[in-house]
Amino acid sequence: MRAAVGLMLSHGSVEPVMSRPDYEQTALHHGCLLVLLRGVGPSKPRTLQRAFEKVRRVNNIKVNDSSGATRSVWVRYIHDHPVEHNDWGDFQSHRRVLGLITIGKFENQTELNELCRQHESLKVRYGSTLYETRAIFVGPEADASNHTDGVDGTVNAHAQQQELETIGEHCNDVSTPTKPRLQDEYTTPSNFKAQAFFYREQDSCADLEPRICDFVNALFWVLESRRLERAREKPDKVSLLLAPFEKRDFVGLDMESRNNRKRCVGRVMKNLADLSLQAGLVEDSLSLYHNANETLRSVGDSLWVGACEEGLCSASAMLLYPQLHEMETLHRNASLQEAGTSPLRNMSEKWRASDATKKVNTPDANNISNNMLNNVADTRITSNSSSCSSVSSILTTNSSASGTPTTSSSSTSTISAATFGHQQRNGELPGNILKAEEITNYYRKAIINYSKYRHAAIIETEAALKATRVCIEQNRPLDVAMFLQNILYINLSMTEAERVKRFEIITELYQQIGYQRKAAFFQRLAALKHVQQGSQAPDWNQSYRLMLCSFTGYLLSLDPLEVLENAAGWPALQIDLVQSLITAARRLGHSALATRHMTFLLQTQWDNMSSTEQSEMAVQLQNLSAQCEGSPVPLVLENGTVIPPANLTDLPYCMELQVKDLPAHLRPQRIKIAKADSGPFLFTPIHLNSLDRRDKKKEKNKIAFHWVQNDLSEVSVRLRNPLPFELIITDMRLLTNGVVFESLPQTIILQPHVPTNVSLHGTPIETGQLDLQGYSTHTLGVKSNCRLKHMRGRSFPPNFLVDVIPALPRIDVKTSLPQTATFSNMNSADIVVTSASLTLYNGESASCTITITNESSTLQVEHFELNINSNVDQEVQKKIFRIDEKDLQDKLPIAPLASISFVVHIYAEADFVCPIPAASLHSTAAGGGEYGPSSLTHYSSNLSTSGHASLPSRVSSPQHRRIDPQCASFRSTMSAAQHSLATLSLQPASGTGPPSIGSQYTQHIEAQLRIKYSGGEALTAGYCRQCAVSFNLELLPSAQITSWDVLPAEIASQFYLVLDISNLTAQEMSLNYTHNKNILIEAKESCRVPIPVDRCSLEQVCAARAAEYAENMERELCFRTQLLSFSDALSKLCSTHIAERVKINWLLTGTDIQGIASLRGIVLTQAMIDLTTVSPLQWFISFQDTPVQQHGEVVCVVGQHSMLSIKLCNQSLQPLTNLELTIKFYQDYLNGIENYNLETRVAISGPNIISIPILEKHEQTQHICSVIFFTPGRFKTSIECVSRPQISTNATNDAALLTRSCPGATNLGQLETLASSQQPHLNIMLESSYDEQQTHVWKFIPPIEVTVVEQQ
Amino acid sequence: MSEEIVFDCLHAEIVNYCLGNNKEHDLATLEYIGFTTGYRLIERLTRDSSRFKDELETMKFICTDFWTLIYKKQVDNLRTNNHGMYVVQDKAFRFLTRISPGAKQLEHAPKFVAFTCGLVRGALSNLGINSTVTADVQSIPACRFHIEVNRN
Amino acid sequence: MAFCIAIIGKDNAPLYLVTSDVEKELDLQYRVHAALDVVEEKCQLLGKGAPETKELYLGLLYSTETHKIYGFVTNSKIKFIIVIDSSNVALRENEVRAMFRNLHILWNDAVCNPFYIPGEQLNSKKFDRAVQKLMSGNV
Repeated sequence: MRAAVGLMLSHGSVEPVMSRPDYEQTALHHGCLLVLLRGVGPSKPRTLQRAFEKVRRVNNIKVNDSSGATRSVWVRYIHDHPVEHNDWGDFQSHRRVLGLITIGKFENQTELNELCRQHESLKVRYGSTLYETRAIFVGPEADASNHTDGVDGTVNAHAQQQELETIGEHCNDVSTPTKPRLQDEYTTPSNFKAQAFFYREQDSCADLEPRICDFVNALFWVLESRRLERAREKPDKVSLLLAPFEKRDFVGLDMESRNNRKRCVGRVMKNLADLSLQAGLVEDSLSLYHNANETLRSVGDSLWVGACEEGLCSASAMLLYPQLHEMETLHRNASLQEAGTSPLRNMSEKWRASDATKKVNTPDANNISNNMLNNVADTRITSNSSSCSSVSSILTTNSSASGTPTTSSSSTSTISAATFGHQQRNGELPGNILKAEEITNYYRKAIINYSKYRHAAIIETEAALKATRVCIEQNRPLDVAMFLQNILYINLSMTEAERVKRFEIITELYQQIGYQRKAAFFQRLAALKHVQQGSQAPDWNQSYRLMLCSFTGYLLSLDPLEVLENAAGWPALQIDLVQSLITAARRLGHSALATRHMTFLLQTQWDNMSSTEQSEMAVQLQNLSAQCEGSPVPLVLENGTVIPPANLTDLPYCMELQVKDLPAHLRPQRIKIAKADSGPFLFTPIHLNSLDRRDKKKEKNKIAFHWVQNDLSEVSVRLRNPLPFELIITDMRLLTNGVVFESLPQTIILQPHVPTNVSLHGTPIETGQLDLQGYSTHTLGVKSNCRLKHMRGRSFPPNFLVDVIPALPRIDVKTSLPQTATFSNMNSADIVVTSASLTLYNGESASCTITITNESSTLQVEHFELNINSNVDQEVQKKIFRIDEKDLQDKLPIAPLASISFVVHIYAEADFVCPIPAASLHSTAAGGGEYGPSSLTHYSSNLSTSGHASLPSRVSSPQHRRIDPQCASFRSTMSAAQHSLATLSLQPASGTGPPSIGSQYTQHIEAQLRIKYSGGEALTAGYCRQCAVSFNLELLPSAQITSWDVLPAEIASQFYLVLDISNLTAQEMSLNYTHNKNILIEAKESCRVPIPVDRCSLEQVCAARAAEYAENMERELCFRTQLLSFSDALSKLCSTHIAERVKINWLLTGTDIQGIASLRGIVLTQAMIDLTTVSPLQWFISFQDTPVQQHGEVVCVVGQHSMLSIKLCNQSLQPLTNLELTIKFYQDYLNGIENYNLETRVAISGPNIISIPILEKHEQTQHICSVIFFTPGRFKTSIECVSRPQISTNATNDAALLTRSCPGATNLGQLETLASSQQPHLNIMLESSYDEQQTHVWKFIPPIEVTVVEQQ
Repeated sequence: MSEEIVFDCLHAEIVNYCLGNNKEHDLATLEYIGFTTGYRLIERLTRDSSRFKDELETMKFICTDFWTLIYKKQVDNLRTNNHGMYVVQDKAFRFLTRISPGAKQLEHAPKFVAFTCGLVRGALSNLGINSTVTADVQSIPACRFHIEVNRN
Repeated sequence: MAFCIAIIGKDNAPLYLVTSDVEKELDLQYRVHAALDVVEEKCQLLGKGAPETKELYLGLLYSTETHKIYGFVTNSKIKFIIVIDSSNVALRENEVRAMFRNLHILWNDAVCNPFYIPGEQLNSKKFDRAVQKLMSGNV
């Protein structure tokens, strides 16, 4: 109801109200003397800094009043003050400007005059309220020319010293100089009445402060006098004090009415209270306010009641929170500290004004106010409030420079002041003071009262602000919020600029209580207001600045990394904010910023955007960057704010990054390794990999392999383009640290959502450790450094470390042979650089020239190392490939770009002695199974009869064999052959090769000629490279020995080696089997050739035996069984004996293809061996006392007995044991049938089987018997001597059964039996060799032919 | 009554399921199931109770309302050392009541308390108290739950 | 009758927000966000043992010419915020309480849905429908 009255009263008033609220005001200002401090004249206030500062420093003085009590008088300096505010002086006396101080700088008289004029005009302007004025003039330095004596209190060392210099320059008169007083040089105009202080520019104005104190003093005393006047006034004749807008309301009202009396008294009392508050009599003012409050409330003078209540609050606050005085300055100071601290840094800690400290130095509050101040300072808006703050900022810059208390220290001091203020005062606090919580209520009441008057809106606003500040001091955030919220309700007509200002103040206050979100909210409002439609001159600069500041409120940081770290805040809002920020930046024409923020948006908010949004943003970014391309460098705003770089680390999205080893043939390897003898596979990739894995386990980012200086190296990246459209990435290159690395730029185009592999290349220029950090891209017009450590959600190491070793030479390898089509499937095939293919017939030989060119232009190849590695075993390999290492080493080193060549000799090694299995020669199973060492008795008899064994006899060609079972049956078993072959045939060294290369197959031999080479530093560092030439040999079958036999020759010292040789080639082959004998063999034909060979001498045999015997002795007896089966020294001896002597040269007629077939590996049966070696027994046989001649005719008569004497002599070096001499007569029907049962035709006297237990060496034995033929005819006598091994009862192997003919010895002497040396030699048995345990058969051949005739 | 049976059976089944096929001593799964359940459940259970002033109040709630709602009985005693260590004792813990006491059975006890440990932990964590909950069974069916609040 | 209903997680991340008028969504989101300071403040007070703050309903957080913003916090520190039209004087406070209580129930059900992962944004048609009802005031 009262409100209604109030409103009614205030209606229709046309009085000017206050133009704008004073947002800086605090409760304590009620107790201050208001002094207008103005910089006048042209020059900027900066030059007058010192003066301003000194003046401001005097904000409180102590005065002893008449009663001797000390009063503490406070001064508030303001820069600007609308005159009309003075009109409210009656309502609240602290609104009056009581003093005026102008500070101006002049160079000459005219300027001085100008300053004076301005001072005067101000005086006039505020004349109504001013008590006192001062003018401070800062004049030019005195020039040394005019020396006029004079005393000036303000001579200072500085000026003096300058003086000296100047003198030095001019004259050498060094009399202590005194400089002229400014005011003597320049005179103020006559109309200038104010008291003025003159200072030279360099002057430290030492005496300014005292002078200002005097000034304040003066002010105080005037005020005091006013107060006393007021106090003395008679209550009955006091006039009505009015707020400006009230004037009209009380026109014509009866002033004498009791109510109005009361009203007058009350108001006066209130005014007195104000005065006493200013005059430092806080207690008095309290009681006065209380009384006034009573009085006025009784008359329902709401407006003034409000004033009283506010007064009470102020008074109480002054006592309770004196530290508020410092606070304001503190805020300014604080504002300048730790500029540019990251807003989010202490986001973790709760943002509450829990205590004064936090309030003061929450970095953000500072940051923001700081930015604001600075920014304002730069962009000189001369909206009075802000410009005053600009001064303040200047002041603070300066003061902080001159080490005024830092935030922390001062703020703590504040607290201490506060706390100790509280208790310590509580003792002496007046009883009628408001309690802390009361203050809030009183303010509330006051505001309600004010709110009843439209014209008091500004008072109300200010009251709310003051209340807020007190609440902040009291740490009652909720109340703060309440008051601030209330401010918005107050509808006062103000300019947009004013509204913005209001929002900013609210922001600041919210920040002080740590309500970041609210602060941000209003900050954003302010930002929007700056540029809202219809506002003339939208200020994008301010808008941009404010939005940037409001980042913290939305948990955004300028640094994308931090934002991603925190991943907090409301995405929708963050996105919106950043977008409007981008708009602002664009409108500012600062496209670099726009691009940067757009990049930031994409980078930080990617996950919070829908795919369509993502692509939209991407497109926008493209457009923005079209104006100014983004690059990863910090941007600095003019207010010093640094916008850190934003990188599009996930555009494109890197799925995988892999550091690649060099290609195998360029891969560096260690040259010397302790276990170098562990074979050629020391460096096979498999091994390396295993190393890799081990290292990986150890250290994820350390790369196991090396890169080589000046060698192109590769990193492969797997990228995905998350955008729905084609993404073009230009200038993509690796990011590295450490050694100098020259990375090649790459341009790629990524289709949407298709993972693509890209390989980035570069060349390390130095040796040492290379640190791969990631890669840089240029996409959507933005350059980005995408570092692995910033790629989130993938298990990437922070970086990769690669060791770069010194440069190695490179070689190029060429061969004289054609390349192979097929690829080798050998190990480490990847190091093969070239290949050579060659087809040879077994036994043929060829050569391949390999040319090595040193490709590197600087390094020479000093180290060169060859080794061959193939799928056949070592010794065979040695036979196939031959390189003259020596000659090669002589050619080293290979100079840069020079080349050398060397020859690899290749011989088609194969096993010629290898029976052809039935399959290979298309014959049916008919006896096909039997090949190999065979008995050729049938032929031998032929041969022996038809005594020209030397002539080759054609045997049926393989095709015909089938219809010739006999021949087939002559073949010994395949199995035997296979067994024997197994020991000698070319078995693949590694399992990979062809299974077995029986020479009748085309066989493939793969070999690698591995080349290790190095040179230069790398060599000393112990590195080399390895490459390989892969050889592909195709060995075609040529001549082939399918079966063989040994026949006695005409001469005892020789034997015939009879071979079945088949020509497996497709051409006719001419075979040269002994020095002068040639034979032509049709393709696929085979023929038999006899080759006379010298027998193997007994010495060799013995040697072999000895060797074997020694060998046996080394072994344990338990191995005997094995020995029996395996080590057959003698047969080996024989086969080598043959192999050495017999070389069969073949030539494909009509071509120049020729080769040698060796008999190496020929296997002989026991029987053959007996023939191959010189027989140990020598026969002397005589019939009827006539020595039997070779093929000699023996004739005797029926019924007549004739004497047969057989003499044996052991010529071998050891005794022959267990011999059994047998004599048989038979009839040969010359059709292969021999008849042995001749009991009716012939009789032998004495045993026809004689056993000879032992025959020592060179011992002879003789057997004589007499024979009687009963019928005439042609008889034959076979005489043979068999040695049976004691142990082996079953040692009758087929060979033993075969009879052998042995060239008959010549004459034999006397017959005599010898019974000596019967005892068996066990020791011999034990030590007996394999050979001795064989059954040997020595036969006297040819059998003696006896022709029996009738008696004539 | 009936739904209690259901609960018991379900629990038993869960235990079997989690510890089936010879991952005998892997109680983590079981505990986690408890955790999620507790986390969600507590939302509902605290709907009508007023905000908890402090830790202790929360614990009390767990021991009274929470326990009652789930196990149809209150715990028999709650003790604390006022340094974030709470011991909840239930002399006849529901999941153990069906097991006959004895040393042999004792070794099986853990299976039947793991779920509840999780349950409590979940409930607390949703109420803003990070804790480690362990249980020990001296003699079936008595069970003691140790709640250790990790403050940091 | 409500402009906006928002559910905010323990860590102040928005879990659910629906507005009567999609145009205003962003603006309202800003306002809701700004309200969080006060919510936290009020939650803090509980620790200081202010007796009246024991209930989940936090009351009016702040009001402007256009909006009244109310808050509510569950024991699990999930925050509910309802924005209503200031001009709507018909709406009594206890009606707001009722809305919150219903919202709480809805929320509980939503959370107990095993397919909802606590802490994630909540999107459930069922929930949407229910909340829409709540906003339009016919529950």
